[in-house]
Amino acid sequence: MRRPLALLNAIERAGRRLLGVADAATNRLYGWRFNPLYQSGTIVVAMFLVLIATGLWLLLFYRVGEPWGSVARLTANPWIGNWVRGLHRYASAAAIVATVLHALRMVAQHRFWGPRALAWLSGIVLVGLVLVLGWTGYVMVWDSFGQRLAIEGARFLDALPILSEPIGRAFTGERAIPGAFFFLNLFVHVALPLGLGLVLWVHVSRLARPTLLPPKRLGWSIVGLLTAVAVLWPLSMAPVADPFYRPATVPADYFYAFWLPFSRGIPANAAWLGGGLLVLGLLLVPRLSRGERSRRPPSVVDEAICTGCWQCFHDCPYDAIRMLGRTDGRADVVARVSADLCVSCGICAGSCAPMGVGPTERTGRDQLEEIRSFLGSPARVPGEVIAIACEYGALHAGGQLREAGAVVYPVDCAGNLHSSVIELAIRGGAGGVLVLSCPPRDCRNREGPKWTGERMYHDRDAELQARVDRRRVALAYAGPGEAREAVEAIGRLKESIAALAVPVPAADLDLVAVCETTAAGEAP
Amino acid sequence: MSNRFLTVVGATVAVGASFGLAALSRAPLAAYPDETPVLRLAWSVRPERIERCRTLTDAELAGVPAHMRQRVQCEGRSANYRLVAMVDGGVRLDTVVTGGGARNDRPVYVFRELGVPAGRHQLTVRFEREPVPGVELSASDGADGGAASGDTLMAARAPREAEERTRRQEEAVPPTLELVTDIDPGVREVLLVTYDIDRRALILRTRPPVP
Repeated sequence: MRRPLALLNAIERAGRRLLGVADAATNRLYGWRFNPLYQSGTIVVAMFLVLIATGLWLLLFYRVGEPWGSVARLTANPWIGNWVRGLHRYASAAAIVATVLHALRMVAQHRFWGPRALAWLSGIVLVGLVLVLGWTGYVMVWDSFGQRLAIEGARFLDALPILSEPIGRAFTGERAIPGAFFFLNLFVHVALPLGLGLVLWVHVSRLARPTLLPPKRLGWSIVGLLTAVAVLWPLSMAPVADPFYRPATVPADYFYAFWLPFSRGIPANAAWLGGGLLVLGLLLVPRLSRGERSRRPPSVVDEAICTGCWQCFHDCPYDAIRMLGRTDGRADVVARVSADLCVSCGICAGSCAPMGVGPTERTGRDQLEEIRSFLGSPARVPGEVIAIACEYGALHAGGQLREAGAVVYPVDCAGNLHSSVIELAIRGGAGGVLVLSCPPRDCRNREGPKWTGERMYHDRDAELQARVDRRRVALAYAGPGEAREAVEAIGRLKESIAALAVPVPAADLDLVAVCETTAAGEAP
Repeated sequence: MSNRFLTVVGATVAVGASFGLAALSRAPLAAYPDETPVLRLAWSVRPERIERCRTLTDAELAGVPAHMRQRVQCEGRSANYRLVAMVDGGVRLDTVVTGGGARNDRPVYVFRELGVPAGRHQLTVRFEREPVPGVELSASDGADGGAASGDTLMAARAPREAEERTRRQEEAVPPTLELVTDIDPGVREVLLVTYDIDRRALILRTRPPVP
């Protein structure tokens, strides 16, 4: 177990390094809102919709009795055929690229353990379905590439002791390919997307408010670009499948036939064994992280403190919180965390005004204890800038932040930061507090930056109180490779507070009591 | 770097990535690196049955449930076949093939591909039943089984059983098939030797002329 775990950790580290650099570069070019690398999952869904739309159109012209001929006629038509077929093909390729990026991000960010295992497992099924869809799509055309795929696929299927007559016999040239083969292939190609939709639903079933589509500007830009390529570089037909000729090369789609160059020299049974072991290994990945639960225990609710305000219920990104009737005689409802759905993101800790919910040792009250002890250090100087940095993001640039003159205060996610921590830091003498969160679409806990921004600037519970001088507070987004952005944000905050007087540490306000009374609806 | 410069770079990267994606979805893939012509032996035939048949007595039949009564009972197995392919007299393939399925009672499926140098050659393909010492093919000691009995139902069944046995024998591949022919394959061409069920013989098929 130790060796696979070490391998997995190494892959995660390499993935994080790679994504850190790629994300930073792409953010520079397109901004975090339209960074396609952050939107990989939603881009797959968008491409799926494009494939359905273009596929339905192509279906009108396809003939099972004349597969290559009907596709050739369609391809020869530049107005209603060629570019639609091109877009269909390029959207399927883009779906594969986005799927790989999505999987890489999930691995690099360790987002597959515990309750997320369902998404991981269903994701593997989705990848399998997409590859089979691509296989059937290319076989439909029945050109030299489709024939190559069919022969190789038949070789694998014939190795299984399930068919009385080998499928490979259909492609030897003994007789014409039966129309039933193309009909069955078409049926699978059309029916599988239904199954794909079902598995996609399972894939996101444990998410609250799943984001299924990319921002419109990004989505339409991708569709527009692919359409432009399809128009400017029209598809051509490969030669018709010929069982009596072995072409040196075939025009192939490497996104779906990446395995073909490797499988050719491998016996079918060995390929099944290798493929089976690979899939088994992928399926077992969540199991490798069984220890994660003990490191990250689920949130718990202190029912004596809970006021039944529903905020944690609304904010939980995983629908892990239910509101139940009280049994202690008090009116209203109380929050209850489903431990088997909780990924210990701690978002609820930041949402609870009276600080009655959160993972063990990471509740709002625990956070206040920590910042108190931090502020109590003799090293603290009144007027300094405190950069509260997410350990998955800006904390990677801790050195640069210190060089820029900030004091770094690490948190495990800016999304579960309780707003009282910011207030206490200001009251404790900090000249300014900069919350450095990961870019919103890159948050490991899905909605952390969104809720943090709402709490700081839009009075979402538990909001940053009006008594806190907003000139001394800032929120900025910086991924692990974006030291420059984080340093620039510090510079901006320093400018903002330059004209302000150096604050004098205030007498310690009992923020816990204040929050409790505020949540109970009394004046602070 | 100015925003304008970043916009130009961003647009260039997006366009480049899109064309790169398109290029990778239509790039040439080495399908068959070897240009040697191929001789493909591919057919599927029903093997002959090697079985011993005997006529059950009335007493034996009475012990069998009514719906399972068959006057002539045969037990045996499917024949194996020796497949030999020779090019210009040189043996290129010599193997024994058996029927499919766990009990080898399914059709015999032949699929072999052999490289053959381009140019004129003489090809011989032989497919013959493996001899089984001491066993006579489809031996039966009671073709008139039901007629001997006074049972009218069995008497009516007997001709149908005999007919079925004959049909199965006729459907089976002949004990010996041989194809001797001249071939002249071109580079990358595939020659197919297959079984013609109507002529009950091996035949050679080549690529139709490309118009």
